[in-house]
Amino acid sequence: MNERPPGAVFTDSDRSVTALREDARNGTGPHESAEQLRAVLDTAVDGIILIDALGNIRIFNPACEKLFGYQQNEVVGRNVKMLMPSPFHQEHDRYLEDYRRSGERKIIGIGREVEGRRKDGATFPMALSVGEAHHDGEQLFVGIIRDITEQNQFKEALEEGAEQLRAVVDTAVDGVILIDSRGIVRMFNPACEQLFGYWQDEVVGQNVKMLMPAPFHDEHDEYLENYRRSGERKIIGIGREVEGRRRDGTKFPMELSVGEVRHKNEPLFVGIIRDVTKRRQAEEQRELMMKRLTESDIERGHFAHVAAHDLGQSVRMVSSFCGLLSTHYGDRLDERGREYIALMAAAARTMSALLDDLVEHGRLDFEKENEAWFDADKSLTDVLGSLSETIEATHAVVTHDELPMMCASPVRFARLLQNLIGNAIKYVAPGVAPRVHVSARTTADEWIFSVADNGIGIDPKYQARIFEPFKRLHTASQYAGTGMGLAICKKIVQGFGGQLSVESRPTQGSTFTFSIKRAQEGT
Amino acid sequence: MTDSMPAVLGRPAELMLVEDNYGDILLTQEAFKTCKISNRLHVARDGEEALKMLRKEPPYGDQVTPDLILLDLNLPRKDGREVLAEIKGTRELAKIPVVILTGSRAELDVIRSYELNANCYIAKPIDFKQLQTVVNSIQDFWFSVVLLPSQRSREPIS
Repeated sequence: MNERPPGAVFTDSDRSVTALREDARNGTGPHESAEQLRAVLDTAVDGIILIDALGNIRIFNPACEKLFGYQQNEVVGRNVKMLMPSPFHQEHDRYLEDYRRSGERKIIGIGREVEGRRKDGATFPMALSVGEAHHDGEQLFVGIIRDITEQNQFKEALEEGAEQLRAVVDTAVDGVILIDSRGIVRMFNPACEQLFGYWQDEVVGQNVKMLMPAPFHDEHDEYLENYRRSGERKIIGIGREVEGRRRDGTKFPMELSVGEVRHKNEPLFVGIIRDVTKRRQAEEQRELMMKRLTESDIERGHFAHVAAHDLGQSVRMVSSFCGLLSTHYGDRLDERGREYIALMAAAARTMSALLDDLVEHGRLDFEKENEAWFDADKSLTDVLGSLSETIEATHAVVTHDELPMMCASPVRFARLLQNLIGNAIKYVAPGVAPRVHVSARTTADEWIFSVADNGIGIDPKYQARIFEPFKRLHTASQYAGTGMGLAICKKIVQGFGGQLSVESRPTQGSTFTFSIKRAQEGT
Repeated sequence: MTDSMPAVLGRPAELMLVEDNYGDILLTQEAFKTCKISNRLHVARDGEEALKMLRKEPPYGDQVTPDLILLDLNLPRKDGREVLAEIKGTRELAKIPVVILTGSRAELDVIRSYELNANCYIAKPIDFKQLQTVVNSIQDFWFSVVLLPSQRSREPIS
C-alpha cells in the first residue's frame, strides 16, 4: 500500500484513474495500477501537483516542469506557494489554515483562473482546479493546471472584436436594431434613440412593432410568423423604404435593410435604418422643379406658338396690303413712293420667314417626329426637286454618292439636307456656278453625311458662331437669310443623336458633316 | 369678267367666310371681287355667329345655306376647330364643304382639321397676289370641277 502513489485516490474524475479502479476490482495488482498511474502523470498535457495539508508538494509531473521551469526535485517537498506570485504567495498558508479550521472552500472543488509564477519570476495565467482527498487519514489536495495564456489572448482578441463591434454599432450614423424571431428587440443603438426618440431601455425587451405605424404595427407579428413557416421573404435580405413611428407618434420615411443571422440556432434579424426624410424632401423638391420647368417649357412653347401666329397674322396684313396698295394705287404714287412700298413688303417677307423659322426651331424641342426606315437617296431626290428653281437659276451642279437606307425622321432629314444644300448653293461668290457634292458613309454605329461646296467659305474664327440662332456673317443685301437655318440643322442633328460640324477656309469652300446615330436594322 | 354664273349651280355661288380679322375679311372680299364667277360672300365674325347663321337662328332666319364655308381656325369665343366639329357633327350641315383658311401652318392643326373631316386645308399666303391665286383655285375647283351636294339636292327627283 505504501508504494501506491498518493495521487491514486483523489482524481476520480480522471478516466484513467477510474480505469485503475476497475483494474483493482478486477483483481489486477496495485503495482500494475501504480505503473499505469505513473504513465498518466508523466504523459498528461496538464500540469498535476499534489500537496499535503501544509502545502508541501508531493507530486510535480513533467507537464508542471514545463509550465513552471522547475525540475521535479527542485520543488517536491517544498511549499507550493513558491509557484505563486504575490499576494497569493504570502496568503496561501493562511488559506489552507482557514480551510482546515472552517471548511470554507475558496477554490477546492471549484476551479478558477489564477496566476502562476515561473522559476524565472515571470507569471502566467493558468486555469487551476483543485480536488481534495483523504488518504490514510491525511488530507491531500491535487491541482490540475492548464496554461491559458493563449486562451486568454484569444479571449481578449474576441473581447476586443466585440468591443470594436459595439463601438461601431454605438457610433453608427444608421440605426441598428436586433430582434429575435418573435420580434423582441435585443439591441437598439444610439442612432436608433435619435431616430425614434426612445431610450434603449424603453425598447429592448419590447416588441419591435412599437416602432411601426399602422398597418405594419398590426401585421408585423404575422410577417414574422409567415416567414418562420414559409421562409417567404418580404423584406429580409432585400431592403425597402418603409415608415417608422417615433415616440411622439409622428412618422418618418426610412430605408430599412434587414439581414438574418443564426445565433445558437435561433434566427435573429438585424435591421439597418436610415432616415430618408431629407432625401425624400430633396426628391420631392426636384420633382416639383422638374414639373415647374416642364410647365414653363410648355408655356413658353405655347407662348412662342401663339406669338408666332399672331405676329404672323400682322405681318401677313402688312405684306398683303402693301400688295393691294401697289396694285390699286401704285399708279398714283411716284417712283419713291413705290420704292417705299416695295421696301415695306420686303421687310414683311423677311419677318414672315423669320417667324416660320422660329416656330420650326421651337417645334424641334416640343414635338417628336415619327421615325421610319427610308431611302436617303430618294429623300435627296425630293429635296433637289424642291430646290430645282434655285438650282436652275444659279446653274448649280449637285452630285452625290449613293446614300444608304436609314432610320430617322424622314421630314427632318429632308429639312436638314435642304438647309445644307440650300446654303451651299446660296453662299457662292458672285458669278460662280455652285458645285455641291453630297457624300455618305456608314460606320458601325453611325451614318455620316457630308455636303461639300465650292462657296465663299467661312473664317475659322466664326465657325462656332454660325450654328447659333440669329447669327449671320453677311448683310441681307449680300446674302438673304434669317440666321436660323444652321441653328435648325443643329437641333435636328442633336435630335438624331449625332453631331454637326464644319470644315472650311475662306474662298476654299465648306464641308458640313453630320452624323446620325444608327438604329439597328429591322427596328 | 363678273357675274358669270357657276355652271354647276346656275346661280351665284353662296360663300360663308368665318373670319374675325377685319384685314383678312377685306383681303378675301377683294380677292373674290376680281373673280371670274359671281358669288356672294357672307361673313361671320366668330364661331358662334357662324353656327347661328348656318342654323338660321334669329336674327339669321333668312340666311341662305352656303355652298362652301371658308373657316379660320383661330377665332374668338368658339374657335374654328369647335365650329368644324359641330358642322361635321350636324347631319344637315355635314355635307357643306369646309375649306380651312388659316394663318397656321402647324402640322398639328392640319392633322386635327382633317381628322375633324375638313374638306381641305389652306394656309393663308403671305402676300396678296398669292391670296388671289388661292381664291381663284378655290373657285375653279369648287365651282367648276367638283359636283356639290347643294346643287344635287335642288334637282327635281326624277
